[in-house]
Amino acid sequence: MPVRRFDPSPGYAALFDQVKGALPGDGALRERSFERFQELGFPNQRVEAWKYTSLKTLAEREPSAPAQASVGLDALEPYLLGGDVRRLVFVNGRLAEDLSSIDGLPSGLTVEGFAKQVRANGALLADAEAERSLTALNAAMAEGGAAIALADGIVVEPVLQLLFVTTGDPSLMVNPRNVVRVGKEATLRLAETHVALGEGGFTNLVNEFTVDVDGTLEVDKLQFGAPGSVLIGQTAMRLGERARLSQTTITAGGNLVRNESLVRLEGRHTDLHLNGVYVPVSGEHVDTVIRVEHNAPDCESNQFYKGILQTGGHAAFAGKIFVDQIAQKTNAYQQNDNLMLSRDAEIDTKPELEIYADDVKCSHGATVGELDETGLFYLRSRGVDLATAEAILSFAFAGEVVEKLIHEDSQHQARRLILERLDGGEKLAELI
Amino acid sequence: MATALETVQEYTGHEYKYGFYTDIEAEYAPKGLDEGIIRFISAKKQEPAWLTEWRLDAYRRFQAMEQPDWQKPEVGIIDLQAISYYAAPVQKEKPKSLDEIDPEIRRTYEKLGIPIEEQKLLSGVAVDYVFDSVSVATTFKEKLKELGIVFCSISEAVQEHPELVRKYLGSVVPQGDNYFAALNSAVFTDGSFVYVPKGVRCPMELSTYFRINAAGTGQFERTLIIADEGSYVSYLEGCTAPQRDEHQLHAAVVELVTLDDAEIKYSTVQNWYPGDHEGRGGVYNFVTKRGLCRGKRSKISWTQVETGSAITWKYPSCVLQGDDSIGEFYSVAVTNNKQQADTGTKMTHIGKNTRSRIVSKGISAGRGDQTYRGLVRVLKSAEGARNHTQCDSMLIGDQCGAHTVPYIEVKNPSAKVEHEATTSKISEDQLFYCRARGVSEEDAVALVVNGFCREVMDELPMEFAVEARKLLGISLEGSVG
Amino acid sequence: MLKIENLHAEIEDVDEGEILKGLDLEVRPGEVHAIMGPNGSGKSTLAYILAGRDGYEVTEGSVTFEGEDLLEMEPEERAAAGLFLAFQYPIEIPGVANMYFLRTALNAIKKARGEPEVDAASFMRLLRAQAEIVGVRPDLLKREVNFGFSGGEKKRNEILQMAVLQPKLAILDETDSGLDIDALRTVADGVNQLRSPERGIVVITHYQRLLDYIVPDHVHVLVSGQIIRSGGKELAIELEEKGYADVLARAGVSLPEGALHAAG
Repeated sequence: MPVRRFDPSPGYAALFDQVKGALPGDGALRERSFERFQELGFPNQRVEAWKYTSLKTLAEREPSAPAQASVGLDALEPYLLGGDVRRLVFVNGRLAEDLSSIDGLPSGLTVEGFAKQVRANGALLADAEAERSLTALNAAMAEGGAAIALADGIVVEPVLQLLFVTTGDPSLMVNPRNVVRVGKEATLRLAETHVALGEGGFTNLVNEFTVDVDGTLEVDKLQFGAPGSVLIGQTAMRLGERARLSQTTITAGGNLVRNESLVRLEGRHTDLHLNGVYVPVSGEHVDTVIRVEHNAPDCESNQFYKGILQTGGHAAFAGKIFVDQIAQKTNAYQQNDNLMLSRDAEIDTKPELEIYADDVKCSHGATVGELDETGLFYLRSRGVDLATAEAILSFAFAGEVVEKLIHEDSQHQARRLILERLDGGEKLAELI
Repeated sequence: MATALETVQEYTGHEYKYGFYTDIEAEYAPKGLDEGIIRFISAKKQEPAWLTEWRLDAYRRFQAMEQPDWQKPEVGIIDLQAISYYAAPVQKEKPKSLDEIDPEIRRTYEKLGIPIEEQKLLSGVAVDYVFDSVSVATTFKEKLKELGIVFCSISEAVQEHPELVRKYLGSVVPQGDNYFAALNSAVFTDGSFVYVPKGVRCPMELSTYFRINAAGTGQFERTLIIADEGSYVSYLEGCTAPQRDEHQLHAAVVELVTLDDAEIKYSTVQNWYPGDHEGRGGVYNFVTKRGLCRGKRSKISWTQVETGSAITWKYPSCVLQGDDSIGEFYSVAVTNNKQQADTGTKMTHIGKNTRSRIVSKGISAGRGDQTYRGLVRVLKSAEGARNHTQCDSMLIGDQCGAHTVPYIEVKNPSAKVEHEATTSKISEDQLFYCRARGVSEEDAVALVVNGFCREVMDELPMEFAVEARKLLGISLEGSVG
Repeated sequence: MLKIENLHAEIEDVDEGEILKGLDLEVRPGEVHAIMGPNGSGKSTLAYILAGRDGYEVTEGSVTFEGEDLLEMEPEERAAAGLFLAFQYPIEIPGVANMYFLRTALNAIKKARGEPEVDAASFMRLLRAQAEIVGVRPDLLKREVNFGFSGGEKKRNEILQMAVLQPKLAILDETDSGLDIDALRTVADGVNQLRSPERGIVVITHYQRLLDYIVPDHVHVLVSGQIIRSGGKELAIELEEKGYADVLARAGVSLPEGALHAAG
């Protein structure tokens, strides 16, 4: 059999030995999870799901534990959402209470640091048998993150922002874990922000979102990377009957960003929307992996992703719609459009359908192309220089997805982020 | 009114029309695979030393490989030692003319509807008849020769045109390309060879009819078609096999080469025995087909109608090397009962302004399971490359599956690649509309499915189109939902 | 030839109760019947049940066509027996040429009746002639069935099919909807050509307009799944002048507000 793994460097085991005594929760479970991770190793590119993303350098790293760091609120200003917002801030994986504010939350909404939850309920880490090695690694070492539970029937007005910040050297590794449960007929809006300050580090994120019958969860997800940062995250989502979940992800920056979404539509008449924009520039690799499982009849799912590829940027997209035999009357859509702005860019896209029910409507589309010549010409004929014209059209291309962000400030941040990354974008900054 | 299930139960699947066996004296190689067998085949064909060595080289590569498992259909490891790699009808003497061919063989092809003769039915088509491991006849050879076109069995080409064979064999599909291609390179027994010289438009369709007859064998044919500068040829292949309870392996390799301004149109109507409705028997059709558009402005077009075989794995592909070259893939695949198909194409854009078009129509019925798997790859050099892909799947009944796995890899910003795919149920409204006009349920399905596939069917040469349309209807008998 | 007795029906898998609630109707050869009614009265349901569409359940009553139990027959058997439904919304069948479709249908029906099939040449002659009569442009014959046709083209195409298949009983389901006055006239002419002492025609319509051109022998008012009034062609004119509300009031039937409004 061909080898399908990279061996983790000895540094991973050394780090685990170093920190395990201080980790919250069941130590034996942590050990088992780590053994599982060692057993699986990091997947290499022979594993179909990792065909376009190499973890070789990550595996070879000697990870270090995050040092205690303090960050001032002013440094975070560009990433904060204004208005009626509550937030939890995690610096290098640990809850920074001085930066967080969760006062005045409605009763029925419980927001706690994950560490506290794990001390109370070790089962939260029951991933010792995980098939996914990075999940096993997270289960072994998760320390921070948010545990959010919303009781039945509660509609929460304020947006809840979860802000994850890493500082310091690129070798640090953090394993945040967020568990979000939305009760029946309850509504929650989240903003999940990842910011790499300094040179970055390796964030190995695991999220679990559950939305119960008639519940709604809306998520803005913004990722601000640094040149050396690696962010690999999996969000597992489960939706009950008539539940609604929509998430919009904006990815910019980072040596390697991988967003995996694993969605299980388990009740009838669920409604799912996953949207995203990725804008990798030189030296950046963004990989989006989605699996939407229609396990119940009458559900609808939509995936809408756009990519802007610039010099040296590399993006991969693999979205799969799986329709179980019982999931009749499924409506599932997926669209992945990519704009390629440079000769030195690469896009690999793989929209996939796996369908076992007959009374369904499923479709997907993928496009790769450059900017529309006539549009460029039109702008230039009105006196706009080429670089700016390109920036305007690229920006407009992403706009359709950016508009889907729920918080006005998220939209603003996303636009700024995209413009910063476009050649000629600085001239447009005043437009937003 | 009959429910879908009742209707399916009412029809227990169609009889495979070509499932008969011809009792004929044949000569076999002993079962099993080793260097000795390869030397035996090579000696049997009186091949030159370089070709024997070429085969052995392939065999060595093969030994280092494993049976692939990335495809959707699950197949156990196939026992390649249980197969006889050479089976040929005993011919007392080599027939000097078509009239001298063994009457049993003649009758076989008559029963299959493609009599070995140069008139009547197939007057516009020259046919190479491959029976198990050997070519038994080729029609219109002389007439084509007048134009400088070589159309013969590959064994004959090795003797008569060694320089062409040596130059091009393995130039598109190298010996070590993949597991089954390596196996084929080691043990191929026969197949067709076509060479169309510069500037010649081949005036008739060239065709090979493949027939597996003997039990306990496989068919490992090798086809090589070369279209020299400015030439054109349209080539068709058809295939059938007797009805048996065990699976039979068909692992062919087809290589196409077009030079500047040349065009090859390659059409397949694949109707190997699909197995019965319980999935017993049927051919494993594991084929490597690839065309190389070597010349500028050259074109290779694959059209396939896949209705047979228990399992099909095949991805007729185009390597678009010459600037402005064009690759096309038109496919209709039908899986019914317990058939499985994993098929699609690879379009590799290397040259400037290369274009490719993919139209795939999959119909899954019964407990059939079908996957479109495709790759569109645009390399950095492929300035101005264009691809358009349309993959549509139709499901008939709730026990079948349809899957779409396209890969798109683009490294050039001036490329324009578009992929669209849909999956849906056969339309009840359309079926009812047909029936309200008096068309029976079965015919309504055939009509709607033919409409669904029309874009592909239109690409087939006339001679095949009619047959293919009927075949679609027959393959879907008993599938109404 | 068509006899509907106490027909009760509902839509399968939908809890909306009965759509038809005891409908009686008899059509004799040579007669033209008009069934008029407001939206939601069950007109299209009746048409689909007669043609044999899936998804409707007959809970009571019977339908016979020339003495045979129509409800026991498959849709294609009904067509072969001489029943034709002109669809309110004709179905598009991409990839299938209109004339090929029609020839397939005609030969299927002929075969079922034990008549010889029509060869391509005579079929083309027949088709061209009929197409001219019903105002179907020759290029529509080569196009895919109803695919990309305008609303008017679809309706004319239905009448063309009827003209070619020569049914014994034709049911026209809202054939007038979406037609301008010229199209309405050609469609009506096509239908009138087919009027004969052997043939029955049922025109289902919301408006009286079509009945200016296809003059019915009998008019029935269908409301809430029942025929509440029958009469001669003057009933259609009365409906047009006074509206459904008045006719209903006199029949002692009240309708939900929306339906009345739609009946305008």
